Amino acid sequence: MNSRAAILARIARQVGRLPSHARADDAASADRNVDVVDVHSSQKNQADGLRPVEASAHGSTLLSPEEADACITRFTALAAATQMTVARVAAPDAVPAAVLEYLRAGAMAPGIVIDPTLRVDTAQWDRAGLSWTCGDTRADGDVYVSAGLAAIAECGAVVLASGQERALRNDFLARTHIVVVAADRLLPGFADLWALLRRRPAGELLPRTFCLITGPSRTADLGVPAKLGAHGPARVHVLLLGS
Amino acid sequence: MKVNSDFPGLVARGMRDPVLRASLNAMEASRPYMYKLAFDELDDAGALKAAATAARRRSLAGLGGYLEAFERNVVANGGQVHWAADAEEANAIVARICRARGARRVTKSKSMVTEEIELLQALESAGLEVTETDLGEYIIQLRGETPSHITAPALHVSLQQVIDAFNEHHHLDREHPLTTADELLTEARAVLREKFLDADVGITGANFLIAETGGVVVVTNEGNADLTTALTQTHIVVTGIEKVVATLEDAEVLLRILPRAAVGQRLTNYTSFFHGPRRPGDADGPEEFHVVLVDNGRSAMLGTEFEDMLRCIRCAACLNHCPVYTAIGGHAYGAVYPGPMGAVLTPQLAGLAGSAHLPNASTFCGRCAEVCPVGIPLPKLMRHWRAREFAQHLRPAGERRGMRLWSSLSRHPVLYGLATQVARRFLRWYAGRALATGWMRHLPWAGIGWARHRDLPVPPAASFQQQWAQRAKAKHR
Repeated sequence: MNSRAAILARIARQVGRLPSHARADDAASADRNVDVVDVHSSQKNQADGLRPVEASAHGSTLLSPEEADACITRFTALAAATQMTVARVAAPDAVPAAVLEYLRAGAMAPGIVIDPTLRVDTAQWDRAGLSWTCGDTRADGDVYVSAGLAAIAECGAVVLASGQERALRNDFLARTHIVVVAADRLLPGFADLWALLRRRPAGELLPRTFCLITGPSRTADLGVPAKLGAHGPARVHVLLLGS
Repeated sequence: MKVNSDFPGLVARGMRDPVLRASLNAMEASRPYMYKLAFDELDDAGALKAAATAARRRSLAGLGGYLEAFERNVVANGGQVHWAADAEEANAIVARICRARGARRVTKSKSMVTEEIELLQALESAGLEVTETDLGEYIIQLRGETPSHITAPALHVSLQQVIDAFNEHHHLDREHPLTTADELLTEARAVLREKFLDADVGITGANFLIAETGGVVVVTNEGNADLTTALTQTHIVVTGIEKVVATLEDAEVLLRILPRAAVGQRLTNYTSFFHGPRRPGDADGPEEFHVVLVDNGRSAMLGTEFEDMLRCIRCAACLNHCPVYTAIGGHAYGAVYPGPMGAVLTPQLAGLAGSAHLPNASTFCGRCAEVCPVGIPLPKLMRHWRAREFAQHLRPAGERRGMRLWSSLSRHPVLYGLATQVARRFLRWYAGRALATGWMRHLPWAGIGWARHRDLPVPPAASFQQQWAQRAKAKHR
């Protein structure tokens, strides 16, 4: 018997053997998720009960202006707690000026690397006086301006995803990371992210790799306080695009 | 799993280490406080803990089905799943994948399962160059040590010792000698950046596996798991079978609670979801994606009194709040999992005979069970081990005889009274001049060691029972 069969057989034999203390509170929590996989059906067909990935009721575009404002307030406060800065930009054309302003404020050189999926007219970068390249970061000191998939107000995270045109590695290689996120993709909670990820044509997969980022790369291995810029960016700045 | 059974010797060493003492004191002063702040700010921390516990119970109740669903979805995502019955098989699988890829250099992000199976040593003896990329793990790799804490592996290392390790291993021409933490960070970043860029294979653990999507979730504060996976051609995930959860929602509940319990953080800096290898046309990502599911004694815990332990999410809250761990440090436990969770897990993974000291090294104060975010009754599980230890005749013969004697004495009140009267009289005679001070600083026979660090009050002339009887008489008079 190979290890797969042996392990699964042992699990099937052992599960539920316990004169269990606390199956009661399993039942109490049965209001969520349990329907996803019927844990009591036969081992073989159990997982076939997996719910097909589908759209959830909650969409971010349905937020009232008050709710959207509350999201921005919460996101900004939580971002600050993780040393992430946030600024608002009205339109794509204003992104270069906002980037330049951030670089100037931090006394950084006006050179950037741009995520190819960022929808900003390239002429605008020149007009703002930024020297830029598009694609991969080369040196450790680079500033990378990337297009975020979403942001989550509840936990103060920006969400970056891999894709056909964007290499996720750049989000981790740069020293300074500027993330542009559309304000209507600032989602109230985790549940809205799961809904966003599940809302896609049949047969299409989830983004291959996606990452929730809260603040600069940090380490606590060299004493207290934690040091920023351990392996990844030492600075993370978020530009919320649109009203 | 290897275990050093010389618990008393290791404890003595830990308690004499001034660097360790300072780190443990600092940790003891901060981590429980951070934990409290992180849960106090929630509207209903109890509900979150209950939801996390329910999510883990759900995993275990449907473990076989969830693992099969996970496997199917990993394959649908283009990855491969391997099943390993034990450490040896897991290490062989990883070595085989590396060999098939013609790999020479491997980067690795932090994983307790890989410590448990000693993957690093196995790959090195297979001729691979392996670099730990979590800074704490990197430091202890240079020092040839094992982690002393689950989430802070280099807790026992001082800044000066890190400087010494870098000086010994980095061979760099520096303008100035290293002195500050910032300089160490800059140097580590540069050295490890090269390792990331040169690596052929990247190995990570998994905090959770998601059955619904075939996803692997890894959290780090440094971003090292992301660089490990984004810059290599092959991503190998090595993790325990119990890590699987049903859905994104179940993973979410656990991702909310894990960093709060571990270090008082709301969310780990980088919470990454991996779904298979590079797809056609993708701009980056590994060409191959492997998940090695390690059993190594876990499935045998299902359906036993130790099943609760499989809920563990390795947050280390039980270590951070443990009066024993914070006194002796992690290395004293003699195996990779320290503290209360280690005291329960090590006997299972390494055998009770070599680790029976561990479930006994507890004051049973109950803090570990109180702070556990998934409600594992750790003291109760340690007691189960103590019962097994007694049943398997692993306690010393002298102790067993003593227990038997005590048990029979306490069931015969007349004999008990007589025996204690003899003992009392003898001790009062032995006390001699100490009778006047009321405290005995020396004891005969078995008490010699006990009295080395403690004084014993001189027994009173009349026993408690005698005094009680006298008082009762006086009242009635």
